Amino acid sequence: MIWVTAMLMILGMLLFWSIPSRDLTDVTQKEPELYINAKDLVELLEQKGSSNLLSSEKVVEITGVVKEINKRNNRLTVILHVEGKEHPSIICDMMKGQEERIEKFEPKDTLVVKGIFKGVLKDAIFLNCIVSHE
Amino acid sequence: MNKIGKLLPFSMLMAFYGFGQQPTKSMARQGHVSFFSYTSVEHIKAENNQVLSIVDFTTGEIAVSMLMNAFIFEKALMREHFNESYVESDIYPKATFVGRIVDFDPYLIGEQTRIVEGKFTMHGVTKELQIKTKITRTNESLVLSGTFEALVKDYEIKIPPLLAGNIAKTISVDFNFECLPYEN
Repeated sequence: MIWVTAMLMILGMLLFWSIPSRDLTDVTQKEPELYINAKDLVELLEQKGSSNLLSSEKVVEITGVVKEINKRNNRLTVILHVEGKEHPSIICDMMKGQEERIEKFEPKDTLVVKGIFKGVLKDAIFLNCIVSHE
Repeated sequence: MNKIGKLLPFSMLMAFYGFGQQPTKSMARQGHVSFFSYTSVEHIKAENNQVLSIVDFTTGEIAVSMLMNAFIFEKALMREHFNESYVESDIYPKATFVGRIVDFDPYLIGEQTRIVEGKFTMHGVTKELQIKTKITRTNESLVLSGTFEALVKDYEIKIPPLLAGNIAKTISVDFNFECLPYEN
């Protein structure tokens, strides 16, 4: 009886693990919790105690100037920046399916993206980004 | 002394001065780190594409930093378990490596294999590591790549007994950092 219960529990866990759960990383239907331009975002990041406004996992919509678009690591990445500042820049790792929308942009264009804030290293990192407005 | 002879000391001085102006550091802000867990039950793979690494040419020192919550998994549930239960990324948001490349020749164009030794910190635990690393230098970039293994128990990561069969005791970690010249 103990063995049967144990087996059922293991099977249950395996099933639970393998069933795709609701993907919280899909930002297409999410309302941003913060709307901000790149310059204000960079200023916010440079302030101490900005964590209340910009905490990890927040969905943020950013308006900024494209510095670079690359496909490093086989990922579509857009880097937004503030003129005159090398760091921090804003690294946006784009969601799958954004290639066609990003194709229209090039450096110095203004772009509005929505993504999930992950934190800051040298630059601010956003994942699951989509083009919000063109 | 001919014209070339007269200009040579000046040219050498200019070359030396010009060399001195070159950045002494190289940085990757989109470095790639992936890890793999292979068990008979399932394979788990995750990757982080925004790893920061800075190499100092003059000293051979290297610093790497990555956000634990920026790992991408195949399944959302795996990501949740990883962040909330295993690495506790709210409490320990970053993993870091600080070390140096042993016998590094920063001016060697081409490939060299070197040992990188230093301290790797994850989940609040620091371990000494020695990693065999392939270093490829071109005129534009410096690429560091390699693989190492990490024991889950070394980093005090607790796996629930029911899921122990799903996660390997030893995790294989791959890295690739394409560093470009960088000035502070």
